[in-house]
Amino acid sequence: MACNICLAPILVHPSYLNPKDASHITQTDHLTTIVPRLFPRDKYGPFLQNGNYYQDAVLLTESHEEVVLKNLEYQGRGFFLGDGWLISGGCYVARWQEELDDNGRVGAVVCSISIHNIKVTDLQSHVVHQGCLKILCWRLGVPFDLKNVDTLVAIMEQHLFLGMTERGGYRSAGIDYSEGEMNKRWLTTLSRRKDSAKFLFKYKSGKHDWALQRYPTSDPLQTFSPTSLNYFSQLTCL
Amino acid sequence: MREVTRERMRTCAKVAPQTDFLTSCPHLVFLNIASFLDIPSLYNLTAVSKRLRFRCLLSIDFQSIVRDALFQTWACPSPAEEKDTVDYEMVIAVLSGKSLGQAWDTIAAEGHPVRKAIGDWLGYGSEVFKSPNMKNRRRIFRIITQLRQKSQERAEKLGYLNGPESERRKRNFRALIEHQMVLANIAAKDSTRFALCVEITELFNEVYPKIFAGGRSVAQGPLLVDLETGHLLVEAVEVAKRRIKEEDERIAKVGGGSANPLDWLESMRAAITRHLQIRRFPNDAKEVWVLPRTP
Repeated sequence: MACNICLAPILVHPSYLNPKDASHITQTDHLTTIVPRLFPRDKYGPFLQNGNYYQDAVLLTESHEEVVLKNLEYQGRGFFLGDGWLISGGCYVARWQEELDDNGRVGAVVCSISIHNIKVTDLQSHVVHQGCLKILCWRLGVPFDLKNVDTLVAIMEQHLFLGMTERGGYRSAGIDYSEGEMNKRWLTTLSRRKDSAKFLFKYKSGKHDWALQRYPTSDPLQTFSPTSLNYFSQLTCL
Repeated sequence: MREVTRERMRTCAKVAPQTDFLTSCPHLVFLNIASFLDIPSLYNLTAVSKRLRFRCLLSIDFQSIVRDALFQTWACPSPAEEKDTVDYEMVIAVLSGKSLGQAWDTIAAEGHPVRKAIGDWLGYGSEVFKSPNMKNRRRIFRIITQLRQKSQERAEKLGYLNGPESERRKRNFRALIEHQMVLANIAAKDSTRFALCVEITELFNEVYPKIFAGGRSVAQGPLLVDLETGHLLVEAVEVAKRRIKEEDERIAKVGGGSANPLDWLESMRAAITRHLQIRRFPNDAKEVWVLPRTP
């Protein structure tokens, strides 16, 4: 999944995939990254400082929904309820609900704007960096307070009028994400496969830069499989 | 924020006397003119002559005008970002035994672009776009501008922003958001309000089939509420908010829910028996709790 606004992928290292402590996610905010303390200071130093971080980082997908939604509970009708959404800081989307008739069959379809009910399979559609959301709120002229009705109305109006997203971003709405000097940065891949997503990162001065180019050659959600790399076994240990 | 460096001051050394209006006008007049200029014009002003550059660089008021102009752009933090920085630095400064005044000085001295900082904002504006992070930030700003334009175009096309029914549609959509906030409020893990949760859910269940009679296009999300019956949702939200307020007052008066825990347990069991039943979800093997409609 990627940020809906800046389109940078949401990266996380397996050692940080602790569902009970989502504050350790790599990229809660592209403006205040944890890269400076992860970036290579000493090539003989510990793992998180020797430059291998991004080679082993995983793209956060719907397989890791517990990280995103704390205290996840199944509510029925394909909906989940969670305490918080630390990555996004909250960006909500309309969802359809199926309602049962008196005979227990699926009957009328009703709709609600979901605030805490998030369909996990569509999770990648509405992840936003907190930093991007702050800028968005500023430009919309509303305070960055996700308990404020005005803020939610402004964000939701824009999100819904732009339409649904596919793995982050609003390309389908005609938004141009091609701007930026994205081709002069350090190149690495997530899963060590030739056809996987490539991340272009300026290595030497990258401590201030989260601009990444994603999916240049193929679909990482198909080519990258967490189970094949035995990440689930690590998850269960946490 | 850094002060003007000696190197920058050397760029306006050996100033020759000037007699033009801008150079010789009173300072307040000069500042008044500058306050109407945009950022490129402010920078052009500093390059007109050495005398003017000297005047601009050394004037705190002029630098403050540049600062205020920069704060309207991507080059400076938004209020929410600035608050985070200030809060963090304030805590660090206070923890290290400094006063609030000293903390402010620390924040300014460390170069944070905060709204109250005084320094070489002309220099900040000429350097800020060079860092990769700020390049990315500028890119994000442009994307957000695009997002806003596109969404407004669509909203106008669908008659949400303008048109005779615009106000009603906006009111209905706002009620839709508020109704979710009410649900989130009562769904909080506060078991003392379980009966209220059931009552409000039933209230909304009555309204849902009447208001969602329109199309299903998600792109028309804010227009989903039926225009004619949307007022039912508005009224239901008002009732729900009033009931929550009453219940909060009652709990505050009693002192935290029912006085006897066993009474509360009994009332909850009765509420479950009365209002809930377990059904099997047809497309899923799992058992789910379903709220039936009120007969």
